[in-house]
Amino acid sequence: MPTLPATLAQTSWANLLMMAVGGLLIYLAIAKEYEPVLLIPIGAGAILANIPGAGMGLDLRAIIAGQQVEGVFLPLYKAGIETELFPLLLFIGIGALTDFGPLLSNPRMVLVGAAGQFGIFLVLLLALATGMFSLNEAASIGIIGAIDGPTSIFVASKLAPHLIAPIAVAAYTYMSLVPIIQPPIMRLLTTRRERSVRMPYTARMVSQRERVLFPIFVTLLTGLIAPQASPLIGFLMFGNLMRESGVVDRLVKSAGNELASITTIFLGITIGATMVGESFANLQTLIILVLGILAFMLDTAAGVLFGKLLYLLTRGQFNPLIGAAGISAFPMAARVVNKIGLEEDYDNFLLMHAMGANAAGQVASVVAGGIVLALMSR
Amino acid sequence: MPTFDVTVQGKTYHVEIPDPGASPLQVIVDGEAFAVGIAGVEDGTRPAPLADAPRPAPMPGILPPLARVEVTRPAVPAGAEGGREIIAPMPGTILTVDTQIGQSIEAGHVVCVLEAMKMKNPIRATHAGVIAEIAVQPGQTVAYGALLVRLE
Repeated sequence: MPTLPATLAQTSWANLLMMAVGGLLIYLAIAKEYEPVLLIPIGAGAILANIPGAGMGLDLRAIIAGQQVEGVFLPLYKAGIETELFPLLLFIGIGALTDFGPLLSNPRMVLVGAAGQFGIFLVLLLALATGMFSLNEAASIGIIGAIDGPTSIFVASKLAPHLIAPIAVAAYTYMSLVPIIQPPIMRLLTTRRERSVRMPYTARMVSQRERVLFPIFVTLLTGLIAPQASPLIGFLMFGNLMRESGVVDRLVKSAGNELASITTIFLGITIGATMVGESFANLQTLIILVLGILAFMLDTAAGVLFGKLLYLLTRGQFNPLIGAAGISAFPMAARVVNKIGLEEDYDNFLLMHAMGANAAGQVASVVAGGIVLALMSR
Repeated sequence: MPTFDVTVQGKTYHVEIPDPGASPLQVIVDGEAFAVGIAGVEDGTRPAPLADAPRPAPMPGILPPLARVEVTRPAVPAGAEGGREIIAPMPGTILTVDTQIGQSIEAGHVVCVLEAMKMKNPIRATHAGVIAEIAVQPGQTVAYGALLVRLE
């Protein structure tokens, strides 16, 4: 049994740093309530993985190089992340929880969701320009910008499995930082007058038939446009079909609560366990984190600028803030839009419009992931 | 589109329901649209069949209403006649009511908190006034345009 000094001697600066990062994530989760559901498991995984001699870390480079790796997290990684199973199971739950009603009652929001994906492709080019990443790696990094954790993991596990750790950590951490990162960009790019544009609630009724046909239609359409996105869209829309069918309440509750929670626990702690010592704490990770946040900021900016275009085209009827909701982080981005709108005018509720754009962004980011996969696999 | 001719106390109304599956239900009475929210029916689920909606019972107490129905006119112009109305800007659930009848409030005072899409939205008075009527209570589901508070 190693003595205490021997354990200390094995502890590298990188282990200590990653433990501190894990502690920081836990602090943000508890003190600031930034997505605690994700950050607590990730933070705990990061601390466990860096206990020297415990053998709990998941060194992805070693795993992919075929070296012998042990530890409790290995079976979880093999079963859920290498196979892409966890992101897909999570999507069933997300589909069961997502109300596409605001999008269906306002279908033009699809455009906003599409515009929110520009940053992905800009950062892809930027990552290539650094000369440090291959095309496949650059594409995986760009996907971070959609702030869609499951899609990021799905794409990275196909194109650049050795980069899953920093990409997943970036996507999930930035998802929790939506209320911090987006507002300054939104304020910078819009005038007070644009932020104050009132948009009354559109009370177009959405029938149950529309709600049921929507997931089926989107699944088939995605199969035609970007078949590589079919697993993700298919699972997302399967969850939503159960929700809208109105006859399998029990399954919807299980998918949205138990299935999503269990998958989040396993996914979060396994992703956290990949943040191990020197294989994570290096310059490449830092650059990926910076490129990832840049992708997110560019996606937000692209969405807001598209919102400004709609503002001009509709002669001031469209509030450009809603453009910022065209990303995947659902419903955080929509809430931020509502909040910024209320700051200017406490009687101007943009929530339902922003929810429509946000729901569109969620679908669009998955489709964008499929398009990236289709382009890269040629 | 289901259409009905309903006679209430000798007066006949022409009623159209464009989509019986919608919630809140849109009901057009003599060309005027109403949003009908039926309490106890979750968003996205099938609303209670029309037959279950309470009718004006000839003998009160014998036919208990099966569902509570709230009828609202969307986009009521605030303050059109006699006092100002604060209406629900979107569908949701009333979380708290933060005012009392007779209370004198300034513009910007939070009258109630409306939870929509799991987000708490403070509903503020757009004008100063005295609370004349509070039409909602905590836990109540409201449709878009439902009267929340009337100011004198």
